[in-house]
Parts: sequence; structure tokens; C-alpha cells
Amino acid sequence: MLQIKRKTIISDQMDDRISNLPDEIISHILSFLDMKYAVQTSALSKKWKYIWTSMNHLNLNSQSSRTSPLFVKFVDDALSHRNHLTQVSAVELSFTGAATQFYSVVTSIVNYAYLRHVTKLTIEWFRLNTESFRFPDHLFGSHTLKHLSLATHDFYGFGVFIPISAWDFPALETLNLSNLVLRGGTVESFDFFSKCVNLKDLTLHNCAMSGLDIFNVLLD
Amino acid sequence: MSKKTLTLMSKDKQLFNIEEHLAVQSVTIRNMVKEDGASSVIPLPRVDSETLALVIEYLNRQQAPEEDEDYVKKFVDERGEIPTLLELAQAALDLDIKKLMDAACMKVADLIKDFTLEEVREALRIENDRTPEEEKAIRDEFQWAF
Repeated sequence: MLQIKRKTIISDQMDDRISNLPDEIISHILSFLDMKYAVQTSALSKKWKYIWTSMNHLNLNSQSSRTSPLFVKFVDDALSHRNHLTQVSAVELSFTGAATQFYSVVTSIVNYAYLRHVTKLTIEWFRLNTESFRFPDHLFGSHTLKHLSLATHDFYGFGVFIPISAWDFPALETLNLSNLVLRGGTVESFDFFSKCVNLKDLTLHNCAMSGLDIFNVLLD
Repeated sequence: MSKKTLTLMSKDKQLFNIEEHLAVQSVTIRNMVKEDGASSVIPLPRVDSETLALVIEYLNRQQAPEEDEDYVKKFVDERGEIPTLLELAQAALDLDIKKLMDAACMKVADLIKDFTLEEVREALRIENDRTPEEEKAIRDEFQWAF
């Protein structure tokens, strides 16, 4: 009997501490969850209403929405409700389906990452068709990005237009390009990495070039 | 040369010894040591002895740096109860031990990711302080996410 009582006291104390979790821990936990689910936690209690607006790592996945237009709307609404005083360190976007459907999402994520000085950006496509895609040029001029990963999961499924000027990533340390066709236009030779002075880790996996004869990789 | 030892005191006044070069993986302790040489006992008023024992076990690990990620994952996996993980996260936050904080929070996220909101309330002991009308108002306000 005594033992049961004691156990109740301990678990009451524990309940109390857990329900008083600092916002910092809650937002850190939310950072590891899909963003749609994170927004839904606003319904848990009054304290949780705005915690999702301050998480510093965003995971956006088109499969969390029933249709692509719903996902596009979700991303728009979620980004506009964010607390803009919070530093965002990482954004991950993955989507399934035709790139054209998600063009506006990719553009707003790239703009968001650029304006919010994000240090890690990951964009991943699943099951896509063969149409070409052009990123906003300023993706390749971010001065804060340290880690960039652009990947599709179809072999040569995709053509990505890249701007014809050296990529200006002074802070970039890791670059991963996977299953992409780089389309340079009509220049013969182009030194992509001359301005990537901090690049330490470069992965080119199943990448092809189109309209480019020489691909220069000069790293120290 | 003998290794310098620090003494940490939990909220419930239990003492734990740990070698200084291991203890300074905690940024909080590192700063204390820098400031005053931390000759005496370092009090940790928000960490209970059970949790502090776990933190000391973690700090005492003898892993090569490249095995460290796997070790910390396994360490939190083996203590997979949500209340323990949250206590660990709190201690890691106070002591500023980033890897432990990340691993504990990631594990909690992994455990609750398929829960309904009601199940999350139960697991994290959250009291719903809204009336059904108020809760509906929140779902309407953020209807694009529900």
C-alpha cells in the first residue's frame, strides 16, 4: 500500500515536470516531425498554439497532403504564419509528382531559404516525369548555405537548368547532386566551383551534362 | 599526471564524480571551469539523480568520434520511455550537450509521429485547457493544416 502511494507521488512529480517542458525542448521535438503534423500540435493546448512557428528546422513533404494544390496552399500558409524573428537553420522539401505542379513551392522555399539565411537546404523529388526545371537563379548565390542537396530518385529523370555564372556559395561546405541533368546552355567550358571556396565534400551521383563540353572541378 | 576530477550535485543533493576532461563535453560545465576553475562542487538544481546518473554514463562513454553518432542513438533507444527521454532532454538542455539533446528529442519525435493528438496529450501529459468550441476555433484558424 505504502509502495503504491510512493509511486503515485513520484509519477505526479514527473507529470508536473513534463507538462512544464520548456518551449525550447518542444520546438526541438517538433523540428524532427513533418511540418503539417507540427502545425496540428497547435490544437493540443493553449501553450502549444504558436510553438510550431518557432521551430528552426522545417520538414515539408507533399505526401502529407491529399493533393498537390493542397500541399502548395499548405506551404504558403505555413511559411506566412512563421515567427520571422526565429532563425531557421534547415529546410527539407520532398515531393512526389510532376515538377511543374510544385514549381511555386520550390520557388517559395528557395526564396525563403535565401531571405532567412538558411544554412542547410535539401530538395528531393520522387517519381517525376522528364520535363525540365529551372531553379530561381539566386539559389546559386546564397552566402549562408553550408549544405545543399538536390536529388531525384529517377535515373536521369530530370533536367535542371543551371545559371551560367560561377556558383557563388562562399559558405558552402557540402554539395550533393544526385540523378540530375545539368543544362548549361551553349558554353563550352564552365568552372562551377571557382567561388565555392569552402567546399569540402562534393558528391555527384548519376549526373549528366547537356550543352556543356567541359566540366571543371578545381578544388584545393 | 593524475586526471582532474569534478563533483556534480543533483537536485536531490547526490554527488557524482567525473573526470574534468569528460565533463567539459557539457558547454555549461566548460564555461564554469573556465570562469572559476570549478574547484568545488557544481550544483545542478534542475537535474535529478537518476537523470544525472544517465548523463554521467553518457559523458563517460569511450567511443571513437566516428562511432559516436551510433552510440548516442543506441543510448537513447535503450532508454526509450518518453518521460525518461524528456528528463534527459531537459538535462542536456541545461548542461548544453547538443548531441544528447538532439538524440533524445529525435527519439521522442519518432515515438509520437504516428500518434493522434489525443495520444500525444496522454504521452506528454498535456492537459487540454480549451473548451470544445475553443479547440474548433484553432482548427478553423489553421484549417489549411488539418
